[in-house]
Amino acid sequence: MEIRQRTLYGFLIVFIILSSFLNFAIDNTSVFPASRKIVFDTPQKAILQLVWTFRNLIADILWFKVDYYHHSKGNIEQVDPHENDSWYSDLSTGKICSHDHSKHKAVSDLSSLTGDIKDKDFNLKRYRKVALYLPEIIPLLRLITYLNPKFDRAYSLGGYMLVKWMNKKKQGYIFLDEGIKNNPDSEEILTTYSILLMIIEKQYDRPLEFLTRAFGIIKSQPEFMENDLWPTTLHLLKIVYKKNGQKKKEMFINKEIGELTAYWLKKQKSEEHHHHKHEHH
Amino acid sequence: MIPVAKLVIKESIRKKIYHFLIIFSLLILFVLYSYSPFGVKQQTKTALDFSLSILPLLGLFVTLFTCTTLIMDDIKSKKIYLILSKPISRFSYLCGKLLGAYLSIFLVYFIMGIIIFCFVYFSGMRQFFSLTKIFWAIFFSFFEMMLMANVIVCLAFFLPQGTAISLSIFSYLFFHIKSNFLKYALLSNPNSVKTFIWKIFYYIIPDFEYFNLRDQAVHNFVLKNSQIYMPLLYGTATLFLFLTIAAIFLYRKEL
Repeated sequence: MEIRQRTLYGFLIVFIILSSFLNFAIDNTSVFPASRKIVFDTPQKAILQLVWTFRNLIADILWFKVDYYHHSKGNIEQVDPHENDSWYSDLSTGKICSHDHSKHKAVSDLSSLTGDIKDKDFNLKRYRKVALYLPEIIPLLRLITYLNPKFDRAYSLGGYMLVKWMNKKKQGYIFLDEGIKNNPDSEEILTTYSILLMIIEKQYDRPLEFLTRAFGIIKSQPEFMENDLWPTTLHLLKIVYKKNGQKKKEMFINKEIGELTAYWLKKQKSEEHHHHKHEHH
Repeated sequence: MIPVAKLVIKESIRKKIYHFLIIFSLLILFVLYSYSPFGVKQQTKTALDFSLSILPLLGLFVTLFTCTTLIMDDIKSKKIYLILSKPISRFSYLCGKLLGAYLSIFLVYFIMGIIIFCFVYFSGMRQFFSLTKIFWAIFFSFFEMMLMANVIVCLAFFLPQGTAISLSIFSYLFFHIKSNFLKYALLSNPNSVKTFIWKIFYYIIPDFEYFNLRDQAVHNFVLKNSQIYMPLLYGTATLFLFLTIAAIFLYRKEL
């Protein structure tokens, strides 16, 4: 395959024009969403642009550090008897669920509640435990979200810590608003924001909007019954509808909760059956 | 062309760096798998994010070590005279060399890809991730490395090895962040002749962010067809552009 040097120069011009045109076409059409193109507007973001390519990697490493603080430093002053508890409640079963990925390890019963979420005692215990490392963990979470604005877990955890445990409501809500702006489809931020508004602000209008969105997002997932946030979303929605006096919608949510309970009971039974079968063998 | 490519692959397999990379990637995944952050789903998500982020790093490492010496070693050792004395044109020689380099990089990506697929498949959280999106994220990362291979070969023609490596890393970073940097320059001074020149410059410089589909794979965001075929078309045009530049350099080289 012999090609003349002059032909190569011709190819060079053609490919420069073609690649520039395609670059222009991608840049000026809606191939990629606008939220993807983040133009830096603060000095911090400008510096972080330099490590832009490996930002996700750095964000993940920082998240490990958050996890380290969460699990090791928090145990220095152990006042919470349930050291592995999650920071959110499994409200569909009416219980605060344990953190170690199990829905069955309930530690506190919330089923007697009459509409409001009163997890005050639980969180007071948690407060003393986490307060030791909160000043270190918040800047880390901020940095993670600068590096990777799609890190919804960091927004959710940071917002919750700021509002609930550090009493910095304004900063916390701004942080969560930013999280929703960058991750409009994150059921995690939407439910966390709703929990905070309902518990702290006794507000039910915005949670209704957020929870309806979260409901739609989770329901569209292929195996939504397995989603950790599905029970929480349903129970919170039920409370909001009850507060707003929307009985028909409350009934609809009750039906969904019933279906979820049936699903879990069936799964539990099948697991027990397998367990017995295994023991028998 | 094919025998030249075969030679490159053989040479690459002989280099111990590949063994090190495979062990390195396995170790990373093992560490991540044994780690237990906030929940199994989060753990899988973080692990997937981490693996997909480390993938281009490893790829760049392999590409740099394969391509900086790809042609210049042959010129220095005068092996090129022996090859070009056979009925093979300079262009075919270049294409063969690059094809060999692509296949060597593909080997690393293939192994890493299988590890990632197995990890997601057996994590028990498969329902939360789309294997198709993960495939496209890995594929585009590989495609990016093919482009980098061409860029490195171009740079290695007229720069010493160390400088070519440094400049290649800088180019890789710049091709990723250039849209943000140059857009900032364009926004700060709109409607001027300077801006018009900047704009031309902006569209000529390759934009590697189009090949970044990690967010779609990790967070399961919507992946439109246009997000696949448009970057694919753009990437192919850019690939041929750098191939032409490399060919011009090779033709101009006094051999």
